[in-house]
Parts: sequence; structure tokens; C-alpha cells
Amino acid sequence: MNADRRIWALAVLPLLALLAGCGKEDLRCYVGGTMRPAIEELAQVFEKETGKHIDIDYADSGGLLIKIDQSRKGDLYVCHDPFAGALELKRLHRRIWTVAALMPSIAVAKGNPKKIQGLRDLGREGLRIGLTDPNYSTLGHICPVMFKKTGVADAIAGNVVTRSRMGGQIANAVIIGNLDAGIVWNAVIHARKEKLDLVPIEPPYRPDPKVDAVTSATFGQIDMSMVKVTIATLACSKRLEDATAFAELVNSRRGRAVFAKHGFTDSPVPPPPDDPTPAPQPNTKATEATGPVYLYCCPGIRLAAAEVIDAFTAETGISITPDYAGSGVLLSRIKASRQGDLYAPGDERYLDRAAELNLIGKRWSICYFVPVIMVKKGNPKGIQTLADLTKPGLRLALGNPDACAVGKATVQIFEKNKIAVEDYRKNLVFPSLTVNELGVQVKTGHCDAAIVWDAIAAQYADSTDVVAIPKEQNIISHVTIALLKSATQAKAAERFAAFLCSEKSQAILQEHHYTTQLAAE
Amino acid sequence: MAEATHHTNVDRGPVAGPRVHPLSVVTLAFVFLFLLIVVTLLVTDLLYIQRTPMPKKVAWGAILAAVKLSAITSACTLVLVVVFAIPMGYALSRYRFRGIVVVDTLVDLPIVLPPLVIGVSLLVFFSTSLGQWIESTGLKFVYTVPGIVLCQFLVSASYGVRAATAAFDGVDRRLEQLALTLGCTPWQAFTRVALPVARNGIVAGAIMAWARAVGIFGPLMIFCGSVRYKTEVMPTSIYLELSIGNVEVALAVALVMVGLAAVALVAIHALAPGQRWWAR
Repeated sequence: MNADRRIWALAVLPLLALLAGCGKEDLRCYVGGTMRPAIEELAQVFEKETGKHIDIDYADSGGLLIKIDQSRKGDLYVCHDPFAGALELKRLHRRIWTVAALMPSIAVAKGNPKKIQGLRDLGREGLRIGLTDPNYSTLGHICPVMFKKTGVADAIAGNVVTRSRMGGQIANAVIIGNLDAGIVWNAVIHARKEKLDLVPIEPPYRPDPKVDAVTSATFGQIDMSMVKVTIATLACSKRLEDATAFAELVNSRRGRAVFAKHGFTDSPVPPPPDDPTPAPQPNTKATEATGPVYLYCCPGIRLAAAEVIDAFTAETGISITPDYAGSGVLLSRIKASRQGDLYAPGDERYLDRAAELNLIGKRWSICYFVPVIMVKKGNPKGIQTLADLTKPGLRLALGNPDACAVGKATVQIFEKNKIAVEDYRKNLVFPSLTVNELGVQVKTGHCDAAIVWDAIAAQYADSTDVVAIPKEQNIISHVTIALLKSATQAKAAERFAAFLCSEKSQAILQEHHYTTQLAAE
Repeated sequence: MAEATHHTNVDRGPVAGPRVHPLSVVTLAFVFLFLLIVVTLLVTDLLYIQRTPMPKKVAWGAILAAVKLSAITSACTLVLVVVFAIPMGYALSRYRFRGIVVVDTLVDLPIVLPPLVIGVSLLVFFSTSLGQWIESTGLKFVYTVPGIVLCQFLVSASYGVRAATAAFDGVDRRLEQLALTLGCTPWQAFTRVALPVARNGIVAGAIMAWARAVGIFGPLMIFCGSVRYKTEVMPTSIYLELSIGNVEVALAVALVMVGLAAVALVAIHALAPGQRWWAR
């Protein structure tokens, strides 16, 4: 029994040590993805200047989101797109700053032994390439888009030997020598700069800022060309002042410089003007509007907007940075960030709400969104009226009323026609955050019908049919653009808004089947 | 591995002296094949570390703290597991009652559950009002060191309990009955007869449980976080280093883990009395 006593005596020691280890709580910052080295450096700066320590809790961004949602503890969340969008949708944030961006790049072993010079080289025979899994990573979505542009997509696909959930694993496999190259974020390579070289992907192959975007049910629309790195203060923070101070440090020119040092691309959102160390202004003449103009834009007008933006940039030299997401998501983003120049939601009511919050100034009318019922080609289910959508067994795709304008309009249309929520909800199989996703659902046959804007339905005309909703039953949305109070590029923004109303732009909109004028009453 | 009963008429354990025989050759061949695989992996790790220059900036301080925290938390877990496994194992082995099948299944459940689920479940539990109340009493688990012990305990306890049950199953009940007739109380029969006889099985189970506790990582990431110097244990260090491409540092930490585990296993065997661990 002596030995047993020894065991018990030993057992008490660690328990005591454990109790002694429980200290006070510090600021907690959740850091996802590849941002840890940069945030660690900034947390040290913060501690030196304020004496306040920051606990950095690192994991994959999705896992961290679960932790924030469940624990309701912590003060800050650093992630890259699309997770900030999910944070916003769950209303877990206070304010969000866009502090940097990520760029897809090719990781090769130090010294580039395989002499890979660009994206097309990945199609060379005999190479072992690693990519990230499109189901789990934003980058996984982007790769096929870039490959398609090289013209050697099949050759590259033939060389892909693994698809990993995280880019870090791909980069590590290149380090160990299991892969010849991998496509990961620039910052992932930079974190391993002693062992890896970065081969940039040539601009023509990179995702197009106005065209290449993906929508996801969880995160809304992701603009592939600009994957943003954000820091958010959390709604559950009990030390909001300290948390905001750190977020502002991260967002300052100083903080952004640290991100640049760690291999990140510059944020599309300009740094705050009241920064103590302002960068020299390249052009201070107020009349010279140079941009870039930051435009919050509902995805419903994306195709036309992209073309209008191109025309505008060609004409004026002013560049526009569009940020596509559901109108509701955008509004909460504007509310939280107080950044950006223009806001073009899918329905005027969002602007009314923004006006109540004193976020916007002048408005311009762009076009109208007419809701229609979109069905599979030939209308196999014989849908003729709104009431038909409640038929048992029908599979419906509808917008989420909290996230996007078409969702809000859908609910109102059903209300107007006295169709009870439970009658159509039972058929709802795909609630979407953006209108574009709805069209895809009907096109692919996952759903039998969806309520979408007329112009969206027109994009899918080859594989779907449209059932019009009679005017007296319908609720038509007025798409309007407004100048934000936060605009730092007001002059350029106003020019763009005026351009949107011009005949030239209206013609582009009509070409894309948008309704620019309502038929006479 | 450990002989569970002390029947005088049963001969268990090793064959005396070396024997060369087709049976011994075949069975030992499997032993050596398995060892070859394990040793090859360890050696490759070592060689990789040796030929790769260590990165200039490595947070060795944090890693050392993680080693300490791993040792402390897994030791706590080990104690908790033994405290639970002995009475539970005895009860599950000796008493039959309605619903024992359900109880048995529930005890095994944490073995089947992916560890990550245990982390998420804990997090969800502590977001309920009951969980909030527990935290408000000052007993904090979410993102704390006691939380690490809780995770490790939940993930590993079933192994200890299962082994203890099997060990008590192997104890001849006649020995306890004999002790009772010689004037022992039921408590004494338990502590002086059943427990010493079952000890080896319990120790084996405790080792299994400890090994699992020290290696878990998924639930900790969710429930306790990966904060350096606070809730970083050795598996967390490996993850954090891999996340910035320090493969050699991660492997070095892993080898330290292997080394510590070997030391701990020898220590547990040494502390279990009556067992000539050095001769086994």
C-alpha cells in the first residue's frame, strides 16, 4: 500500500499547480488563417504601448466562428473572406475593419528547382501540384477560374495530386518535398519564406474583380479577386474600448505596414484619415476625383454593373472597387465599418433604413427589379400562379428575407396575396443569401421554382422559363444608389452615380434585361 | 498483457528461457515488423530535423511552457481517471441491474465519439444557463486550464473504466468471499483483495487513458483555445508550428512527446508495486 500512497501524494501536486495557474482574463483575439504572425507582432506592440496583454487564440476561421457563437466570450476576430460575412449575418460583431487582402500565388521550393515561372507552367508534364479543396477553402474556388484562363486547365488538373483543406498543409507538403508546387495565399508563402519561394500568378489569369465571384449559402457573395482580411470587434466583448483600440492599431498605417511586411496585399479600403502618420497624398486638388471609389453593390445588378464600371473607368480613369453581397449584409457592413463611398442595394427600403441611421446622402435611381417566378424549361410542374408554389412536393428556392432584397420582396408578395408563411415554407428547400444562387438552383434542377428578379431570370433563359407575376399581385423594387456619409471619394462617387443614370449606362442595363422604366400605370 | 488472477492452478505469463520454434519465429516476426515501421518513422523524423536548419525565430519559451502544461494537465487527468475508474469498474463488474446494457453503452460512448465533438458539446453545454451558472460560481472551464483537464478526462476516462471493469471481471469472486469469511468487511475485501489483484489491469487502463489524454488536440482547440503560455499543450504546439511551416520544430516537439511518454510509462510501471517492470 506504500506505493499507492506515493501515487496519491504525486497526484495532489499537479492539482495544486493547476489551481495556482488560474489567473485574470486578458483581451482575447481569435485569429484564423495565416494572420497569426502579423497579429502576434501587433499584439506585442500594443502591449508595449498600453501595458495590456492580448491572448491570441489561433485555429481555422470556421472553427473560431463556432467558438465565438457558442462561448460568447472574447473581444476580437481576425479572419479573411468569407468569414466576416458570416459573423455579420449572425450579428456577433460590433465593427469590422478591412486591414489587408490576400492574393493567390504559387509556392515552390526554395531556389525554384522546377523553374516554374507562372501559372501556365503548372501544366508541364510530370509536375506534382497541390491545391486547396473547393469545399472548404475560398482559394479552392478561385483556382479553376484562373486555370480556365490559361487554356491549359486540363493539363494542370492532370498534375493535381492532392486537394487539402488548408493552404498551410499544401505549403508544408512543398517544403517536405511531396509536391513541386502549390497554389496558396501570398501570406502563407511569406510565413515560410526561409523555405519557399513565391512565383506570382500573372495578372491576366487572376480572377476578374467584376466577374469572378462565387456565392455560398453560408457566407453570401465572395468577390474572388479581392479576398479581404478583416478584424472585427465582437458584440460579446466586455472590454470594447480596449478591443477597439487594438483594432484601430491594426487598421492604422502602422498596422497595415506590419501586414505588408508579412506578405499581405494592401487593403482595398483606404486607411483612416485621422491617422497620426498620414502618407503623402499623391493628389490633393479637391476637384481632381481619382478614386478608387468603394461601391457596396447588391449582386442582383452585378453583370450590368461590371460593364458600367468598365465603361466609367475607361471614360474617366477613375477606378471603382465593387463589394458584392446581399443588400442586408452590406447595410450591416456599412453600419459597422463607416467606410466606403456608395451603396446600391436591391431595394429602396434599405436606403430608407440607411437614411434613418444617417448613413447616406444624395440618391440616384438606377433601375427596377421585377420579381418573377422562375421555373425549369417547359414548366414541367405546371406553375401558373403564386398559389401554385404551395402545391405539395414542390421544391422552392427563395431568398432569405434578412439577407437579400429579393427575399424581403418575396415575403411581402406572399403577404400581399394572403399566402400563409407555413404554406410555402414547407416547400422551401433552398434559402439563399443572394439572388444569383436561386437561378443556379433552378437551372441545375435542385429546385422546381424560385422567385427572382426579371433580369436574373433572363440570364438563365436557355435552361429556364419565366412565369410573370401579375402587376397587382407583385411588389416591384426600385434600385437606387446613394452616396455614403463616410465617402472619402465623394466627388468621384457622385460622378459615377450620375454616370449610372446616363443613357449609356441605361442602355447597358437594358442589354442585360434590367427594367429601367416601369410601364405606364 | 498483465495477468489478472492469482490462481495457483493457472499458469500464465512468459515461457521460461529462449525457445526457437516455428510458432515463436512467426509471432516474433510480427513483433519485429511492427517495431520496424515505428522505428523507421522515428528515425526519419530525426533525420529530417537533423538536416533542416532550425528557423531563426522559434518560440521555444512557449513550447517549454506547453511541455509543462501537458505534463501537469495529463497528470491531473490520470488521477481523475483512476479515481473514477476504480469504483466504476468495480460496480460495472460486480453488480447487475436493469438497464446495465444502456449504462455500459453510455460509458463507452466517448470512445466512439470523435474528440472534436466532445469539444463542441462542452462549448455548447457551457453556453446553456446551467453551464453559465457553473461558470458564475468561479469554476471556470471555457478557455481555461481546468477546461483542458475536463476535455482530456472526457476523452480518455472510458478507456480507464473499460480496463478496470475487465480487471475486476478477472478477479475470482471466491477470493473476496474467502476474505469475508475470514472477518473482512465488504470494504476491506474490496481494498485488500479485489483491488490489489486487479491492480495490473487498472494500471494498464490508466496508461491507455493517459496516452490518449496527452495526445488529444481537437477538442482543446475548440473548448480551450490555443493561446501561447496559457492553454497551449504539446499537440497544440505541433499544430501552431505546422501552421507557419516549421515542420522540423513540429517534429522536434513530437519527438519530445515520444520521449516524455516513454519516461512516463516507465514511471507508471515502476510505481505500480509488485510488478517487475524492468524484467518484462
